[in-house]
Amino acid sequence: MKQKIIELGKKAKIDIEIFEKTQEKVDINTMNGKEKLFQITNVTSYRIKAIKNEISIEYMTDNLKNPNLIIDNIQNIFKLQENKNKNFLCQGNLKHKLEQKETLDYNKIKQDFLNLIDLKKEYPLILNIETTYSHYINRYGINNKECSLTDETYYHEYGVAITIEKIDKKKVSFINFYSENYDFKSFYHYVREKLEYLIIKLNGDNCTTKKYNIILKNNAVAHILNTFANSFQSKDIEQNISILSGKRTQKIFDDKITIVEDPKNGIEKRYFDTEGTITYEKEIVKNGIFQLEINNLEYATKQNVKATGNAYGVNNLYIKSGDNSEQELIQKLNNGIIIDEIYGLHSGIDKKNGTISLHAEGLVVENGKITNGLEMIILSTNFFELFSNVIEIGKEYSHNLLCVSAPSLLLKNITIVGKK
Amino acid sequence: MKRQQIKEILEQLLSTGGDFAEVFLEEKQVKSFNFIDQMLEKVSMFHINGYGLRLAKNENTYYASSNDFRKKKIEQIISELRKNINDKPIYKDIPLKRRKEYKKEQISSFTDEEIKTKLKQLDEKIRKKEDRISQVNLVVENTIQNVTIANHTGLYVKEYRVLSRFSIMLYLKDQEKSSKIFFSKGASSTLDFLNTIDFDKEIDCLIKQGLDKLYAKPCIGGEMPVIIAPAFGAVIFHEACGHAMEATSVAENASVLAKEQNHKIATDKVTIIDDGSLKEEWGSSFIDDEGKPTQKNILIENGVLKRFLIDELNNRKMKQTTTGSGRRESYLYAPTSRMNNTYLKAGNDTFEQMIQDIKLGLYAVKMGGGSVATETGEFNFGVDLGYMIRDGKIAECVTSASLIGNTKEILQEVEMVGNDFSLGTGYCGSISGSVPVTVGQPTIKIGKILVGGEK
Repeated sequence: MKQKIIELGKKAKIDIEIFEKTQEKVDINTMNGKEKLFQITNVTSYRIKAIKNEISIEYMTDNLKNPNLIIDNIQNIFKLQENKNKNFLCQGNLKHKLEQKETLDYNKIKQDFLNLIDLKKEYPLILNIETTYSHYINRYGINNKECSLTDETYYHEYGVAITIEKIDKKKVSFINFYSENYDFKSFYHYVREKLEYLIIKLNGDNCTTKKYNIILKNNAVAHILNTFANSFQSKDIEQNISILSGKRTQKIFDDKITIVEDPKNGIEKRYFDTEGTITYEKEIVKNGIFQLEINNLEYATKQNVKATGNAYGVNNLYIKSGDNSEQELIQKLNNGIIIDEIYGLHSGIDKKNGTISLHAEGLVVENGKITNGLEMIILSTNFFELFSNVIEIGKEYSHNLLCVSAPSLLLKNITIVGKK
Repeated sequence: MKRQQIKEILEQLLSTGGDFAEVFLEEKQVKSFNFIDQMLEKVSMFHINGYGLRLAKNENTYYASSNDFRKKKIEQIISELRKNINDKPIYKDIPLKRRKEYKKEQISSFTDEEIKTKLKQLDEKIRKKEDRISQVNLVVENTIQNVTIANHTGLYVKEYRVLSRFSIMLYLKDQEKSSKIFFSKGASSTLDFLNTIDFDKEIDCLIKQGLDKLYAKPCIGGEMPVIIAPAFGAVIFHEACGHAMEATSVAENASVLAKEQNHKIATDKVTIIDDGSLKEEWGSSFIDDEGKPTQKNILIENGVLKRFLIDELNNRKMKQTTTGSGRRESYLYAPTSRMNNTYLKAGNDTFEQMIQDIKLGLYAVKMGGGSVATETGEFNFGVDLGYMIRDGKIAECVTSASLIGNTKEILQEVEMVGNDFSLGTGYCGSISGSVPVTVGQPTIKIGKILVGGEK
């Protein structure tokens, strides 16, 4: 059917390229040691890129059953759309096959998650443990009149919500974790670490509103970087809707901050983007200087630069790590606050002016040791201040997001709002 | 998929002893117009057609979704689901009823060219009004969704739905200062709903708000009284108590309100209603995604928690009555209890009464959405546009404000409720995906809440 659409396009003097994604997914959810939901998904979707007189449009569908209707719809979009930026089809060929694919036993995986209930024996404060697990297998393909690209990826997503209770007080921690291969051991280790912090916060206090030296934990740094990820896109910059419009080649962050995008080495390894551009490793921010915009073919052509393979956004964006262990960061902080959880990123961050005002939780550090928990506080800063006030960078990467990761940052003079 | 095939699928699903089976069919077409840089930059069309099969036994649920309608694939999926259950069949012959249909007009009187012209005119009008506007982004979106739902009880229904939405994002710039401000409106009707928008009024208001925000000062942080404006301000109730009243969390005792039914949890001034049957509202439909008619549900009445929002399977644990609240983004998700149009009933307090005694507080004019941990009731939401209140008067515009609080505390802090009720529209994300929701309230006064700010 794909060839028929490409042929029909040719008759109408339209060059057609079809990006195909097939996703197979298995979800297993449990609640307090009982299976709650088992789900399987098998879905194919198509993104059709059509080019007529060098102008391009896109049409998305999950079936190709009616090629004539698809061509009619494409013709209608051509009549309406006014974007005259030039574009072209992909020109490469690539067949990437997974070298080693895991053999998985979903019953064993289910049991791993059900067994998390055993944490209750060790931590009697636990009230509820709700877990989620997803295994993704994605197949990507691109076809046009000359080229063919295929790729296959897979990864695992783990989640747990642990609620603890003491007398009338409850605290909950939402823990997310990704890995390429099934790695319950690392996830379990992470859960225990978060649980220890959660218990400290159960007796948590509040703080005085003022500027503190803080450690922003790697998961929180990753969340913030992820929120601003599109700001590095040429399209957003050129349309003046990015906070980084007009900032290219400028020093925007501290010297210690280098931000890299490397799709081939992420949790989900992507060898080409949705337009067939072969991906590669690149430094977007180097030693605090914003040196490279990421783009799609349209904006690469418009700016006469190399396409970066980011038609879908970022796939493995990360801040280069330092050499401090988490314990070393705490010792270097000596007195201050660790922010280990932030909430409400979709509403607490203004991506245009960069203000960050986020519901947060954390821990008090006194004389290089964690002494108490902090809850119902607000991290109040902005995008440039956050990545400019860097004292030290940690070495351990976050695993809480699929496409963005970061190490922990030791920061100076960041406003924390409390009730005191 | 024909009636006989649906009946066979239900029967095959139940053949290993399941006690609940459901077929959900969905066909959806989305068309959106994205106007930016003074041109119709992108017209997107998206078409999906798929199915979700749900099987349950006691409290366990098994769900599958696919857009592969080949018989062999469907049989393979059924086999994957039913192998989780190994018992004697309870249901053998499903008495599928004659299909009941809920229809509404899905075709707009606007042509695509007319929409394009309208967007061009609006863009020109906006840009002429203010030199400091650096970008205008207008979006019109229309969704036609047809769903068919059948289950083991013989229920067999189909609804023809339509949703339309319009939004403006204004970007303003003055030297190094920049701001953005947003307006949106949606309805469960055709694009003809655009005729109900007073564009001149909304544009003037938006530009004024954008300019105020452009020169806004940092917000003062700390605990203080807050006045929240009508319409989307009600996101505070959506986050603070709406989610905590969904069976999704209540049935698992994972809600701070799980044990509060018939208890006084809020001040007398608080009556909160969720009503999925409101005519043509953004969060409305004739039936929910389990095939039950939507209805008006009084959740809190004069401060007393009356009922929860309950879907079919969570009700197995709660043993109350379902409320027509089973929702899902698409066939890719199993449905669960969700809000539709949630609002705080109007009261009699005036704005003057609310502001007069406030020495230092915040007037939150535009909200930016929020989130909640239903287990603890801790919630947050962003204030997109706010003004400090000083000595009983509205003072400087402030930026970077967010509000955080706790469900049980905030409901006891609703001191005043105004009479200037209106509704606002948005999206709500949860385990069954992102669904359109309406929130509504008049102006309200919260006695105290923690406000985030840079000072």
